[in-house]
Amino acid sequence: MMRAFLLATTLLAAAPAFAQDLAPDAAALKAHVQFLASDAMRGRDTGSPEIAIAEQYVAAQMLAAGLKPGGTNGSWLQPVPLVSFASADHGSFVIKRGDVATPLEWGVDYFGRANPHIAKVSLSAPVVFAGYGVVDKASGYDDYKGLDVKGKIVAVLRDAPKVIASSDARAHLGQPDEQARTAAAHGAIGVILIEGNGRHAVFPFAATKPFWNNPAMTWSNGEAGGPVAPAFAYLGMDGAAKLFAGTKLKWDEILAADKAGTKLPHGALGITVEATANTEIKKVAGNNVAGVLEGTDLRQEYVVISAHLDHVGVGKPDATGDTIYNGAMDNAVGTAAMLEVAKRFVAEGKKPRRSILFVAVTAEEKGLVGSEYFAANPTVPKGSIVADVNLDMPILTYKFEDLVAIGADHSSVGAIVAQAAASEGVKVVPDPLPQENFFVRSDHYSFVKAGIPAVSLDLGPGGPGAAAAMEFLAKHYHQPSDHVDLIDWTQGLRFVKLNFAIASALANADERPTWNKGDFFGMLYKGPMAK
Amino acid sequence: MFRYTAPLALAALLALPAAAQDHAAVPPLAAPLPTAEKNAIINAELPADQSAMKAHVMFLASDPMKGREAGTNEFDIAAQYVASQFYSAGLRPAGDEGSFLQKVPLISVKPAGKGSMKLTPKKGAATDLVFGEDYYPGANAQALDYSVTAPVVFVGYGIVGLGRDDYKGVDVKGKIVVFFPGAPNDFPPEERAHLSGGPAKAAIAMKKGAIGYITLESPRTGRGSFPFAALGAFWDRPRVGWANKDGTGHVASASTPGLGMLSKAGAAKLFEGSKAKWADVLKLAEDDKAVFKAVQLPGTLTVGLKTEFTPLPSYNVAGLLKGSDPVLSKEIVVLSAHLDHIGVGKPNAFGDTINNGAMDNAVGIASLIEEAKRFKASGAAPKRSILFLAVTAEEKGLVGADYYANNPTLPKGDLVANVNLDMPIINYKFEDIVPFGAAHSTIGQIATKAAAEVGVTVSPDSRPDEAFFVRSDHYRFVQQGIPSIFLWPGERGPGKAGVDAFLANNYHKPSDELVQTPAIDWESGVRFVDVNYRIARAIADGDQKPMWNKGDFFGTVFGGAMAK
Repeated sequence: MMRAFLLATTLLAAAPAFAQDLAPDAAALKAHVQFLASDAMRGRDTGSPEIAIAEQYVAAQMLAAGLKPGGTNGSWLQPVPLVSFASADHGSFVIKRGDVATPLEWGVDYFGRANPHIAKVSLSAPVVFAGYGVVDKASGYDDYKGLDVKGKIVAVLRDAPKVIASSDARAHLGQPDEQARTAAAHGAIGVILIEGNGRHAVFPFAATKPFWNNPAMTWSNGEAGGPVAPAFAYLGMDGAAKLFAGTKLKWDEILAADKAGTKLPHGALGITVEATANTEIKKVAGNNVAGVLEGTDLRQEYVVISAHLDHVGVGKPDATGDTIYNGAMDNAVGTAAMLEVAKRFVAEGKKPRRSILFVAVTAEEKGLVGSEYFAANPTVPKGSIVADVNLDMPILTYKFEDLVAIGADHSSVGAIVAQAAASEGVKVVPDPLPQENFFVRSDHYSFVKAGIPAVSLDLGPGGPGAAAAMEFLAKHYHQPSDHVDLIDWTQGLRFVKLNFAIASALANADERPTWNKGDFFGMLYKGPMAK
Repeated sequence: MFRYTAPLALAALLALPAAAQDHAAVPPLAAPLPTAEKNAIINAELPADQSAMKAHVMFLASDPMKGREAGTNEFDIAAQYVASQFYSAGLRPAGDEGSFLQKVPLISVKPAGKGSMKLTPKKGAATDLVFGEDYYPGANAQALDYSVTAPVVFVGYGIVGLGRDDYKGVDVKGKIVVFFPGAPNDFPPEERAHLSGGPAKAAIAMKKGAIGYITLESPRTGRGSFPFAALGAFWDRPRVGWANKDGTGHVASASTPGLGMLSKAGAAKLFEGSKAKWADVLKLAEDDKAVFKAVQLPGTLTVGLKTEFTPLPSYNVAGLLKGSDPVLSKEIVVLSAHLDHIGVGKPNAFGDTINNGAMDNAVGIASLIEEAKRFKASGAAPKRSILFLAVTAEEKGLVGADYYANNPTLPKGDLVANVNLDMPIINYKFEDIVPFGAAHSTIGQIATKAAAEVGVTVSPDSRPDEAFFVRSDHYRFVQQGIPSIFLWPGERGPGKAGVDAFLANNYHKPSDELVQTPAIDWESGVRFVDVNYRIARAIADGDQKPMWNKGDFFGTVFGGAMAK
């Protein structure tokens, strides 16, 4: 599970190990996690020697399970051209009003932003404030209406307008990458991101300082979805006040409208910004691992079962001195469940109608990069993937009563999942934590962006679920204590069984899944839509 | 498979295994295949049992595993893999503290500095022997700084046994013994291989009360004997051993450490003033069957050694399948295979630096895991318990197995047999098997019978000069008195060509990969697992535990249970 923002969390020692004799299928599930989350695997960080070993492990397990290679060139692997990028220096940011130049102060007013495609950004252009920089065809919302931004720099609040009802759509539209893409589509040459009220509340500008040159990752052919105007700077509220000073727009009024959820004042500011942003760009090796179980009459269509294999590696020691972020729950157990689902299909002896493509993706923790690459460059014919079911960090610490299918509201996959889960006695319930923006934080989102109906499965809040999830997120999520001992294997097996039922239902249904009629993502990414 | 080397580390000097040197007919190493073609071989469809075996090898011998050298993180990851596979196969942990892993305190030991050897004659001034001309020092793993002064006794080959007594007529108590390396060629090959080695001679010297030993440069070359000058490049090469609980290095013959090697010139100085003339001894030594007269040399020798240690912690992996018989389940049959290989080395002709060790010994480990699954799948536990043991540092000199055999996680007296899997060459359809060690114990008959059940005959060792019997891990169990066997597919039919090709082109090379030439035959792999399983099963279910044959050399030397 990709981290959304950085929060201080309580550090606690790992729960005591519990020794138990397990049934062979539970032992098989546990064995994968024991291996992948062992200290020797050093947290499977993208680009590390250990993730390369984890890839080989998954390939070998797929072979043993009876799958066929689903990577490139008849192999199990799909090389992903990963690129790591980080701010190389502080850059510069100067506001020009006629002959008066006002330099902003790095770390106080602004931070430079790294750009994966352009090592040296150097711009000088007039600035237009474009509200949230959002265009939503479905609702007709358009921040660019009446604005001429061709050849100019746009400044936007780093958020999405509250008038867009769907939290999933807001989470999608309010991302810097989307805002930059929209700006480029309108002819802008650069983007200034500005801290708004929403962002300020969860992760204030000043708190981002220690992370100013943390590397981020993407893949090298550019991101899916067209050209990007570099978002070269991020302005805090103090910097924003300086940007708007003396222009016809008032920063106070913009903030007030943002708070109230009303239309933001917008337009050309009558100033020029001269700025530079320098990025250190490095290539990183990584692979997705893919195995196919061939279907019968509908075998040309593929249901993807995905799980990310990477975690966050070695980091700061916790209170016990442990530095290895083992990632048992996140996401060794998701990967293990995927492998066990594959074994179940083979053991059952009855092939599904559609083919099933099992994919262990890389660099999820770096921003869903491996899955984005796979969805944009699938190893099977484009258009042949009919659905993705993603397994990411099921919190298997309690006896679950229900299931959350993130993204279920958008397509017929939701109903199929609900029906299959019901057959296993499990109810599907709405996302209890919409504010966590899980919809854009796990790999199914990459498939969504390729127009493919997709869901991520999480265990639900029923019974002890809500408390258990909060406990895990507070104490173990992205901590060295995310150990194998946290997991209840009986629940693990139930989760495998449930996923098997869901994958079977998707693979055997008469019709391929469709987006709900008029769905925001279905329309945006031109997926197959219900009539 | 441990490369056979001289008593002191000489690995690089012997760039080819002995068997490879006279096989001009073997075709040279083929260039790597194009990716798609290679993938077509990797992914040729196989029955489930063959895929299962291949999957282990595909993982363990993959490039990211970097050749699994003991002491590397990749080895530790391999150990985690085996532990998780054992767990998944239903074995119970039999390592330290309820885990599958046994910590092995490996140490790398080497001489620190040139040491010193000083000769004090009965009369006259002491003379220092010259480093590199007269001597090269040994390393005493028991002490960082070690010195000893004692009279010196020449004892021929230093062998007592097989009708030979090189100590006849001398008292070596409290003295340093010097001897020629090697053993007469007319000894039976396995006995000869054992007795040629420094450790066996040290054990004899210790029994006789000597307090140190020195090897002499021999006029002959061959097993254990090499020119003194060759040692120049290797004398301080580190050797791997294991540490005692007190942190000192374990030396089997603790009170009789190896002190170094003397050149012919150095030996001549030692013999000065003796009634036995060095020139005569040297002349006599040209005949391998020479009978030397043991003699105390004049004066005393003072040897000073400084030794350097580096810890290299590693693991054995141990999983137990509990036996079903209320009485016999206390007895344990050990199935072993080494997990380590030799890591990353020099690039080959195609720029490959990773010695993947697919045949050596990912195939052995895969067999071990698949046999565990077979025992489980049979639905009937064997009468005796079975310990599945993946050992470390075999390639460093059978060190992990030695550690286990000396420090077992289960009562030593309960270990009744060892069946070892090391580099079974499965690049052809085998017709027979060679059970190394079969001639020494009742396991020989058990193996013959079990193999016959599936139409496989047993052949004698066709490469006795390779001395495979002392070159793999079962030898460490033999040294603890435990009857052992080590199995290879035989060389009938296509066997000889397959073995020759592997030893010449792939053994300890980057080309020992999942895809190699000749190709690994997974059907043979599964058959090999089957035969090995049947033998292990027969041992575990037998009415009698295995015994050394009456009067057997190894059973006698190491004091094991012997047939009447």
